[in-house]
Amino acid sequence: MTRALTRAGRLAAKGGAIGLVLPALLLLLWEVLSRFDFAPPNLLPAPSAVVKALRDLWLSGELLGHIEITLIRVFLGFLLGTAVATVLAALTGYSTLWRRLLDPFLQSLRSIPSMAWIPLFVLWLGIFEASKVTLIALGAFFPVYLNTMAGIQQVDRKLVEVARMHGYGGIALVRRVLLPATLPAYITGLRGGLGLAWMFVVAAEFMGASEGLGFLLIDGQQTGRPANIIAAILLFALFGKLTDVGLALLGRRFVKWQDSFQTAEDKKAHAADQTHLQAV
Amino acid sequence: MLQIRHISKRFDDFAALRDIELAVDRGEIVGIVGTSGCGKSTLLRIVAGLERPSSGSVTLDSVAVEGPRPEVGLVFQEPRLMPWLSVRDNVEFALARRPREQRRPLADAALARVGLGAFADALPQQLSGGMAQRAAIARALVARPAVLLLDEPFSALDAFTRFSLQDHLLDIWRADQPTMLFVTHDIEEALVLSDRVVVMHAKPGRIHAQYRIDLPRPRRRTEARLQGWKERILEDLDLAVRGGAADPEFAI
Repeated sequence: MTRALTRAGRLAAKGGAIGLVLPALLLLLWEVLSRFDFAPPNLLPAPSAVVKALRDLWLSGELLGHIEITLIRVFLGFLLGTAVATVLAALTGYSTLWRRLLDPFLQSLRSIPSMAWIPLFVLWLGIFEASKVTLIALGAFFPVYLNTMAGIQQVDRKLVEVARMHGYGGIALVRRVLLPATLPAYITGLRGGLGLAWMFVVAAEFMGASEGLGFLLIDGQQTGRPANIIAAILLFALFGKLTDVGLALLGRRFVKWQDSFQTAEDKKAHAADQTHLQAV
Repeated sequence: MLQIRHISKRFDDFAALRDIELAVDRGEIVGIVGTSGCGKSTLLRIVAGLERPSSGSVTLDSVAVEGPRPEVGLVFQEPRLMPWLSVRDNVEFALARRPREQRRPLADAALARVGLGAFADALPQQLSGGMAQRAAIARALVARPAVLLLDEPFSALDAFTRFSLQDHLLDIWRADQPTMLFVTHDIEEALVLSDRVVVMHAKPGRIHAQYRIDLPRPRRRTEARLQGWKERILEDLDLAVRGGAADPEFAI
């Protein structure tokens, strides 16, 4: 884990440094333009104003509460969606009967735009936490379900034969072969699911919340405080990225045997080196 | 010890095997050669219990084979190692029936026998093709099966690695004397290793001829007396090819 962290750090140092140049220049330009009144501050506040808004929110003690409730909603929704998706994907992945029974129905649900469920969820579950968590769970469900089912179906039949040859069947076969072989696809699904959970928490908090980062967005719009909106956007980006990196690192620990995981990262490092060389 | 009686296998309209009769003695090495599509791999999979015959039976020491059995080991054409397990864990994979504390020493001993002692902690992706196949052989042998089945085990390897693994297999055979039934399209490989060579013809898969190779082992690949058998087997297979029944995939 620590090795992976230092590795990520090295990558950021190598590839990230050059990538920071453009955002830093834009930030500087934005600040300068604001200082000279080129941009109306009631529409586009200066970066320093955003930092000040963040600091004010923090000092008022409000910010921590907003972050906390949003994180809890994402976490609960992600957990619920993932749990249901894992069970259903296991059924449809392993058993043809369950797949024929369930998959067409689930696939047809997919064609409904998820936001269309909001009024129904509010009607059924009220405007408080239950409907929000359900919506987020729905968002997290499909990436996990689809990746896991595909992962199970794509387990190498030849490895299953080896296991059968050595007397593995039932639970032992699942534990020793099917689970480890499915893990890379599962982790891909989890990362996709988490990404959508973050997307859906914004929608969920739009539909009537009195706290949360999504509420900060709406509140900033209604009270004409664009600095708060931008501050909330930055926080969404920060926490979305942090949770994804956490999941990726956790995943890499379990699937370090996989060729493509490591080579993909090496390729990324290589590509970063290339851009670096070209820039020099 | 191993009795194959009247085995036939049909896949829909295709007759893969027809009425195969073969008896293999304890400790005997039998090589099966044949053109592609003659059903030799199917026959091996039936003996392994991975596939059921359409009719006929396989018995091992008078017990019917109806599924994979612990006394039967199988080496596939590809190594088929679990990519998430270390080389040692892959070998231990075959020892699930043994008490936990016995597994590691047995696996390490099996790896040492195939010359992979230093690679026990490596992952399969770090091994060369020949090393991976050796690990697969270690896995098939670690539980000391009474019968070892090999399905073109060396066909994906270069000639050099192939020769060394053939010698290796004979060393192992000398130690444990398992009954071995192996499929190959390499006539020379069959002649160097086998007590008996079975020639199969295709469409439907059937046994065409059998030759007892009563030469002491180890045999030199260039040995003059092997050449006579080689010519006769080639003629057997050539007949099949000229009859339009199969492709000449066998090597000399």
